Amino acid sequence: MSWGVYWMFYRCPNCDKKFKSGADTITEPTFGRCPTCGAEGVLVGESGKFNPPDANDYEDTAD
Amino acid sequence: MKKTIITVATTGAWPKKENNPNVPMTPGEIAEDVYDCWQAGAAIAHLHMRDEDGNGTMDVNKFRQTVELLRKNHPDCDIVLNMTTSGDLNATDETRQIHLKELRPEMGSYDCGSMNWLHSSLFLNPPKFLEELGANMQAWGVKPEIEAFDPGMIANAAYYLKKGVLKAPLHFQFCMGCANGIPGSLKNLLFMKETMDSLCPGSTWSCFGVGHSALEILYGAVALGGHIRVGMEDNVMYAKGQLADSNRQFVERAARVIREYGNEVATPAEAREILGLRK
Repeated sequence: MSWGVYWMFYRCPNCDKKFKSGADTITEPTFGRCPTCGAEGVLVGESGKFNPPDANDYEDTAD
Repeated sequence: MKKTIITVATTGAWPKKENNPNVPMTPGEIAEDVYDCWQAGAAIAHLHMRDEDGNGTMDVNKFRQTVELLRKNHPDCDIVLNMTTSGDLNATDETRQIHLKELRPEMGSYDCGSMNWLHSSLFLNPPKFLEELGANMQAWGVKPEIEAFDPGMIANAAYYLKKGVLKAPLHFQFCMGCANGIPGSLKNLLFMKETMDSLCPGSTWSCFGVGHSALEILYGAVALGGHIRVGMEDNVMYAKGQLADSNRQFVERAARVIREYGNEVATPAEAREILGLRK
């Protein structure tokens, strides 16, 4: 059994963009940072718990 | 020419239609999807079932219905069936095994240790369960596919091999990039393989990478002489920002990589030969 990517969901405090970072990319410099303005995101949810209903609308920060 | 086995994991226990509308959920959908993937080159189908709400279930009747639909509607399909023993975190030791006893698939998953699950729960495979499952699988003629989420689980398999709970040659599935497991990278894949070669020489192995590591692990598997698992259990995205159209899409990509490398895609008959299956 596997369970796909473990996502951490963020909102940008500057531009309000919704984005997500996969735990499998935790060492990347883009992790948890807004792909538009580069600000550090505010964590709003995670896979399996507090999973946002519009999860597919969050942009993946991985390169 | 070297043969590479493609396993397709069509459904898993977690993704739902809201994650990807193309995930097969019902026995009818799963049976048709397995057939489609077999036509594209998959030699093994790793099966999970869902209840009416789309949650993972170990309901033996769902497994039975899927197998019956596949056999009835597609008698030409000789794909190897590999049934999960870990499709519902709330299942009992008994319900995790009853489908193996009643349906006798050629393979079943054997998760060789316990771990945290999604940073919120536990994925429990305690010694009593693993000893019982190993003995039963031998008695029922079901080959264990040993799922290893980290190198410690390979060491655990070596222990059970010495105890006679497992029987050589072993077949491993390296599960890479899952939360709480070993990250998916080529370096880590090589470490898993070397650990297996050291502790359980003569074993065969396959692997998969969830999410962003999927392609790195696919190419690594082929280059290192292993086999590969693909499908929506592990990835609902085909590429960044692109939902997968189907499980067949993943199988076709794996087959292209295998052939471009100079290997051949193993047929189910060849997979049976490689893995020493009973059929």
